[in-house]
Amino acid sequence: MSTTTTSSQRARTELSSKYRTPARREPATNVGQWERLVTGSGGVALLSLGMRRLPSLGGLVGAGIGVALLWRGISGQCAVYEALGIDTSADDESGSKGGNQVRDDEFNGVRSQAKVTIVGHTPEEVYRIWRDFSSQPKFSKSVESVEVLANGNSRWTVRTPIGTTLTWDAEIVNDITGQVIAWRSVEGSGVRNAGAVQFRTAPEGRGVEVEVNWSLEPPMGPLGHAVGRALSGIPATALSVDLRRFKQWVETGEIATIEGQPSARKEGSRQ
Amino acid sequence: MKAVCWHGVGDMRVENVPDPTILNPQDAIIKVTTTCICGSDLHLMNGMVPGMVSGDIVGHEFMGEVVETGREVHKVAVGDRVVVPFLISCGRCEFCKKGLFSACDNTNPNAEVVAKLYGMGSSAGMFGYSHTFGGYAGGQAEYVRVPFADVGPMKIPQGLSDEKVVFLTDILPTAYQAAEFCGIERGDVVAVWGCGPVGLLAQTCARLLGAERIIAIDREPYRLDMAREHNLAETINICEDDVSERIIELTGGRGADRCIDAVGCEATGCSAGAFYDQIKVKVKLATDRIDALREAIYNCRKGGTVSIPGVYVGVADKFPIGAAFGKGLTFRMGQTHVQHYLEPLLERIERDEIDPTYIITHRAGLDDAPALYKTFRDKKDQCTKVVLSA
Repeated sequence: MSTTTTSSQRARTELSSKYRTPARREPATNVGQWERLVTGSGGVALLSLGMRRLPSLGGLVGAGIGVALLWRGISGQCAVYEALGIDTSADDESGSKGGNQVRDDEFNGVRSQAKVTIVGHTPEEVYRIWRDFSSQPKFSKSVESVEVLANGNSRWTVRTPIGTTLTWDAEIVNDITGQVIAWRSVEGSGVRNAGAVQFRTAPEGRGVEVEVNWSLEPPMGPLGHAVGRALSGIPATALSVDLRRFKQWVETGEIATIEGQPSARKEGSRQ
Repeated sequence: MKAVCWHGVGDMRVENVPDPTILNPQDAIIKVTTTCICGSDLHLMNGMVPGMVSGDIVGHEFMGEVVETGREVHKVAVGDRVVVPFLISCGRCEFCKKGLFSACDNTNPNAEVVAKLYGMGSSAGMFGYSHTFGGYAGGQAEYVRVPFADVGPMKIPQGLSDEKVVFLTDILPTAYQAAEFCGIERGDVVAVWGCGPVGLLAQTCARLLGAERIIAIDREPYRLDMAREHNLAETINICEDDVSERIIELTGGRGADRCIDAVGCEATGCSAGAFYDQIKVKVKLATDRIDALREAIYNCRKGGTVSIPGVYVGVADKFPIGAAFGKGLTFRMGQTHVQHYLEPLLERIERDEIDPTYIITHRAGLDDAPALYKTFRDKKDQCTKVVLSA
C-alpha cells in the first residue's frame, strides 16, 4: 500500500510541477451553520426531484446539483466562497478562524478527476487504446471528434451539456508508453485546458488503474472561475461517465446502451 | 409486438410497441415462448423501485427461441431454445470473472447514477426493472433484445417443457443461492420467512442441501399449505401464532440455525414493528419495511446465518444491529449470480431432483397480465405464481 501511494503521489507531484496543475488543497469549512442547513435541505429536495426524472439529462443534472448542495450543507465547504475568499462560518460560535480574508489563490482552472480499474489488459494495451485519440468518440459521450494534425497536435471538439461545443488544439507534453499521456491546449487555440491520464498496475493482478486529471480554464475571469467552480460537478460527472464507458469499451468491445429499444412512449419523448 | 408496460403505480397495460432490433454486436433477439410475473415485479407495480418511466416494458423471467444474432455472437445461434438470466452480465469484468455476475461493471448504462446512490459501485443491468438497473426493455413481450448473448442465455435440451426450466431465469437460482448462502450443516433447522415462489423454492433447495427441518413462515394459509405439502415444512402463521414462541418450541430453545428472508422491502407483518414500518414509510421517513428481516434476526440462533434473497431498495429504520452483533450472526444477501447456477441447476432438473412446477397456480396469455398482476398482488384466487405464454 505505502509504495503505491508514494509512487502515485510522486507521479502527481511530477505532473503538477511540470504542467502547473496545482495539487488539491485541503478544503476548509467556510459556510455558516444556518446556511448549511438551508443548503442541505435544498440539496435533498433537488436530489429527490432529479431522481424522479432520472434517466433524463435534466434529472441527472438536477440530482447532480442536489448532491453538490447536499455536500455543501454536510461539509460546510463551498467552492464559490472559497474562490471569492468568503467565509460565513467565522460567525459561528466556535469558528474564530481569522475572518473574511481574501486568499492568494494560485488556482487556474476547474479541476476534474476520475478513476477506473480495467482488467484483462496490460497497462501498455490500455495506453495504446487511449493514445489512438481519433477513436475517443467511439466510447466518449462528450467528445464529438478528434482530428490528429500534421504537426502531431490534435484538434478536440467536445459537446457541453447545454448543447454547445468547445474546441481546442492540444499538444502532448508528456508521453510514456504504458504510464502517462499529458496534454495542454496550444495558446490561442480555444478553451485553455490541461490534463493527464495515468496508467498504473493495481496490486496482485487487480488490473490497470486509469486516472484522469483535467483542468479547464473558464472564460470571464474571476466571475467565470466562481461559476465554473460551483458547477464543477458537471465536467467531473461527464469525465467520470466517459471513463466508465472507456472501461466498457476496453473490457467488452461495446458500450452498454438502450438507445433505440422499444417502449410504449411516443416518438421523441424521454427514453 | 405486444408487451406489458408500466404506466404508474398499479397501472400495467398490454400495448403494441415496435419490435426490438440489434443495437450492439453482442446482442441477440429472442422470440419469447414463456414469461412469468415475479414477486419483485410487484415492487415495480407498487412504485417501490426508483427510476421507472411511464411506458417501460417490464418482465425479467423469460425464455424462448433465438431469432437473430449480432455479428459478435458465437455461442448461441438462430433456432436455439434458451433461458435468459434476468441480469445482464458482460462476462469479462473483474466481478463476472469471479462469478459475481450480478455485480457486473459494464452492463448498466446508468452506473454513474447508481454509484452515487450506493456510495460507490453499481449493480448489473437488468431486464425490465427500472432505469436504476439500466432501463432495458423487459421480457413480458413477444420479442426481447438480449445483450451479451454469449454470456447469459443457456441452451435447453429438447424434452424439457418450458414450465420446468423457465424458473432458471430467476427464482430457482435465487432460491438456491439463498439456501447455499446459509451454509447448511447436518441437523440444521432452516426458517424461511415468506412462502411466495422464492420462499417455497428456497425451502425445497434447503432440503436438497441437507436441512434437517424446515420452518415456513407466512400469513396466507394457502401458501403455508403448499409449504407443508411440498416441502414437509412446519408452518407458522405470523398473524395467528407467536413466531418466537413457536421457533423456540421447534428448535429446543436454540433458535433457527439458518434464517432466510424471502419477503423483502414490502413486509406486511402483524407485529407492532410492522405497524411502525407501515406508518414510517407512508410519511416518507423510510423506504423499506423490514419486519421480516427483523424477525429473522431475532429468531436466529447464536452464530447463525441470515440469508436475504428478498429485495431491498433504500434505507430502513430500527434495524436490530445489537442483536445481530451480540449473537455474532453472518449476513449473506444480494441479487442472484444467475449464470453461476444455470448449469448445475439444469442438471438437477434433468435428474428430477428439483421439479419447481409445483408453485405454478395461474397459466394465461400476455393479454391477461395486467389483471393477473392484481390477482398476484392481492393474493386472490390462491395465486402464487403466474406463467404467461407469449
